[in-house]
Amino acid sequence: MYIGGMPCNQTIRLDISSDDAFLPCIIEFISGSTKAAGFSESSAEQAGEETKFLFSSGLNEASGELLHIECIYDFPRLRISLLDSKGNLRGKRDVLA
Amino acid sequence: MNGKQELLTIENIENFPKARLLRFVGDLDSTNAENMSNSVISLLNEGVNAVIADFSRLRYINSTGLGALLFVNKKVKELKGTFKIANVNENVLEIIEIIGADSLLEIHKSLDEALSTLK
Amino acid sequence: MSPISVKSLAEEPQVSVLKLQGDIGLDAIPQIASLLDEWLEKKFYHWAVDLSEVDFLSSPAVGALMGLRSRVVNHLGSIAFVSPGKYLIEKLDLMGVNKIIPYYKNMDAYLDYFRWEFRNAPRFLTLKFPAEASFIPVLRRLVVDLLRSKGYLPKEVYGIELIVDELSNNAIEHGSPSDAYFDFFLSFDKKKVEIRVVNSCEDLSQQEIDELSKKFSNPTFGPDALRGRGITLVKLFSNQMTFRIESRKVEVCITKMREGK
Repeated sequence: MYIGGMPCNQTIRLDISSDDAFLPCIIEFISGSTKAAGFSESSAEQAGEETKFLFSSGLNEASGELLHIECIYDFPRLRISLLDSKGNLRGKRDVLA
Repeated sequence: MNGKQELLTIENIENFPKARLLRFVGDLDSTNAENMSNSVISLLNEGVNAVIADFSRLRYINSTGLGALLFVNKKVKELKGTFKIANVNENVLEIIEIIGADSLLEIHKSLDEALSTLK
Repeated sequence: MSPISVKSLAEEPQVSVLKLQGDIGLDAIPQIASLLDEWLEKKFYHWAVDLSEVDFLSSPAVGALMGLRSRVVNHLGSIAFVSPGKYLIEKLDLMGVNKIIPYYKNMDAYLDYFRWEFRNAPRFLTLKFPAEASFIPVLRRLVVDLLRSKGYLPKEVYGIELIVDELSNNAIEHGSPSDAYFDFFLSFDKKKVEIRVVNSCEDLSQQEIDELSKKFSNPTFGPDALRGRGITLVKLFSNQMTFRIESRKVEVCITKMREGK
């Protein structure tokens, strides 16, 4: 089943260096991916907000460490998970279309 | 694609009923190149024989977009029409030139210049 | 007189931390000047000024720190403020000092900057994403944003955006990914960008491998060709392109050097 050109039940896995400058980029990426996955503009915006919330928990990762983010698109739900450099789950947030 | 802005708008050109002005906005890439060329082919099928593309708001082009431009250029010429491009930014122009497509496309520095060459 | 001290930063011994505490008035200047002279003579040219416990920083003190900047910059050194409080930030911004000496919210943030600027510390991105054309603009935007956030200029980033686009589209169109996903790797520092795109595919015959290899080695296209320009553009916009084709995997790597770095 396709929604907006992208099949349902898709997962995006992102590993990225811990760097304060990257947060806006990550937020924009997850928001953009959500739109590309066929979710509405408001869901995409919410995905960005939820991502910002996940990162506000104070990760305190040293620069050079890798953070792991997973976005599971299972229409109508998107689950965003954030794991630290040791693989510990630091939080997850859901967005409903 | 959900929420993506429209790539181009089509306008009539005063005194030239068989000409159209296409204003491009944003990125011409693999997500919209085919639609773009289909739009132009539709115009040709309606009897349009002069197409001017205003690139002043076109930020980016990839090889697929360039291929689509060359395709419509070829189709217009097959019908003895003209395809002109104006206001190309330096990044887009660099891609056009580096691939050698500038020898195939009619490129004008400004829209006024392109319009002035309409017969 | 408020405590003023200098010590080497444990994590980066080349960096000297000038710690100031309390009110830094006119009377502190001689001590600051003396300490700076001592350390500069030992050729310590990278400075982090710890303002976390400073209540008041007088204009002469700011002047002394600006003087330090002039001296270290001549030796390709640096100076930055670390953990200035709200009041100090307002004062420094009002004086325009923020345009000349950067400040960082804490020592980790400073280290991040120092290692990026002077140690060529790289940044990494690994992405596993669906092989869908609609997704490519989002990936392009991510790469552009990451590079711009670390000081790459729009003109520098444009070619890299094109490379990302062409390699990703090429993998979708020609790679026949068998599991509908791609792996995208980005590594970059102040001087260069490296990109790798890997896709799996159905069992390629030797002939198919040879044809693909030829396409990557010597891309050709006719003037009327709708396709075929992508790899040519990748080669023209990068400094080096390599590829590896196996029966079930295609991998393309590029390196793009920043000019003048």
